[in-house]
Amino acid sequence: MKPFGYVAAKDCEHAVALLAQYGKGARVLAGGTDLLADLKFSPHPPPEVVVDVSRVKEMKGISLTDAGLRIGAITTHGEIIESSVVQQVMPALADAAGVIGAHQTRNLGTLGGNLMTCVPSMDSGPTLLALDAQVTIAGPAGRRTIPLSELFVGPRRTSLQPGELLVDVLVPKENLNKPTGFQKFGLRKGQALALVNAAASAWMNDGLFSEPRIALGAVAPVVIRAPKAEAYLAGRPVSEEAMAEAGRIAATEAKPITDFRASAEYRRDLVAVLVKRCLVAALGRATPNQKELAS
Amino acid sequence: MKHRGRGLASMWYPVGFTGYANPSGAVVKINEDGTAVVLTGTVETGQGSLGVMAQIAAEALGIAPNDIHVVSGDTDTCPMDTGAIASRTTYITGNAVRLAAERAREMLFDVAAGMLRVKPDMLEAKDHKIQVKSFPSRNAAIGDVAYKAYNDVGTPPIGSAMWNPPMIPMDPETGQGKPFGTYVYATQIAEVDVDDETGEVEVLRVTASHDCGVAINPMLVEGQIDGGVHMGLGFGLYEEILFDKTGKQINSNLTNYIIPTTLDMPDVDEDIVENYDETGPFGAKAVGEPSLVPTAVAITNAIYDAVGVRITALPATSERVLAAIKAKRAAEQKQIPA
Repeated sequence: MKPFGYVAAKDCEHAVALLAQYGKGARVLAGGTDLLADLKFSPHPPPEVVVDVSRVKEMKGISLTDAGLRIGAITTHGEIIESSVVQQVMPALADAAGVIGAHQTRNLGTLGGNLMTCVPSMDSGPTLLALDAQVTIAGPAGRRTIPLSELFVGPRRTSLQPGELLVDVLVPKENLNKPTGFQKFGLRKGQALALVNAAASAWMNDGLFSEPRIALGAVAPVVIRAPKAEAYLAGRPVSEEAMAEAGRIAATEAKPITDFRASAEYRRDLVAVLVKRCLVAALGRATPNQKELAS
Repeated sequence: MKHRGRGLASMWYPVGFTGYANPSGAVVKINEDGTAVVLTGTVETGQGSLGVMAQIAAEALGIAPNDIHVVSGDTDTCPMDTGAIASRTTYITGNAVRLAAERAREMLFDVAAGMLRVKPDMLEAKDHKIQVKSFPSRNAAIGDVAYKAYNDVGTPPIGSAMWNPPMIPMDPETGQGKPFGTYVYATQIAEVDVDDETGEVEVLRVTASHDCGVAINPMLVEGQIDGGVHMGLGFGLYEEILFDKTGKQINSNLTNYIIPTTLDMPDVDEDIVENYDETGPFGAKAVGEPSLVPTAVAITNAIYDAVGVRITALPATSERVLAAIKAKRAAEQKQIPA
């Protein structure tokens, strides 16, 4: 590893000031699981300064607010798995956190880091996208809130400008307890990159799908929604055949690549299966009343 | 939908090199306090072989494994060993250690015979004592005998030995010969679940029955079987070296050369079938490499039992299994008369 500068930020404002001062010469350190690998193996010159945000209290923790469920960007995957609030109102996010890397990765790696590294196979992305999550970004000009979908620009590229910092993720109040399923398929069970991952959410009142959201990871340059599959489901009676068809439609919306891990064709097959299974899992999480109506 | 299947595979495996000399040497020195030092050229690679060498020397000398200090792998001081390869260490190095210990013990018997007023061939070494066979109350502590050998009789008890497995070279006219000293045998059964939508194979359980001769250290034998099943699982389902067009390896690190993790490991039921081999040290043969030989075949047979497809190229990745399932469905569709 080549030498680099290091500053531990006291709070968000301190971190933003440092990021603004150093611009592209600065890198943010949260859990370090991605950054350290980058610093060791990247062919590019090392950053001028690593801004350590791991002690910024405002960016840590999970809390229910009037606006919804707020998760600080440096909350670890382990904390998400263990959170009784997450398990209660958003269990699919705990499912996703539970299959990231290995125990060691989950104990160090953070939600914000997973989103900001912005690899297409990120496991946190699909569930949050399927729940219309928003993100708070702090910058020299103050704070702004954008939909999570606008954060993702390309592989390892986000819409954040130099000097900006991801502070927290918010799932809006109206989507808490929305039935949601998450599925991941990797080449093995532990320490696996997703060949495909997916999440699906939908209300199922009166036996009909409403506000369906389907999100797919690792099959496009960024985590994407599957709008045609969503449109197919909206207003349709809840049935296994409808779930399977939504999966098949989502498979046509995916734009997977062929690489040494798997062919594009196989990834498409997996999209169809995983989307169906996400919807089945979501149905399993619908309240008893919703299930009764669905049957 | 998941389908359960079971598959079985059996194997035999030779111990040591094929028809070539592959000797091991050993030196055993009994100390004045009744402990001993073993010099061996073999190296420990994590399998516990030096512990087995200590057990073999201790058994031959009638003392405890903790009384043995093993010096290994130093080519300046240790006798030659062909290597920790070919599943040969327990069988071949073990025989050299056993013979060297017995030679050192003979020197102790000569000294003890005078002390106990019997012929040396009436003695045995047991429980830290040299004792008269069938009359164990007539005995002398090994430490006392060794001390006397060093300081009174003047015959420090040191034994050395070489051992090379008994082989007969191939007759070029008939093609006949005896290429190995001995062989081991094993059968493994794999139980799997195959997901017919993704092709994913989950190995739930492997039962591994291994003839390893006499198991000198059963816990180490079980550990070897566990490790072999892990490697066999990788061979069967995950591991593949991939090259680009210029011949450069694409997946040259452990993030993309996929080996099974602990989460992928099945329950392993290790079953040791003890089978005394008269050419091995205290009847022992081998278990190292053989433990992985049947695993991949048992798994692919289990896949066939579960979903009716034969996987003929390893690893049986999810993608390959799903492709085989699809091809089978397509073939069945064709056979349905219009």
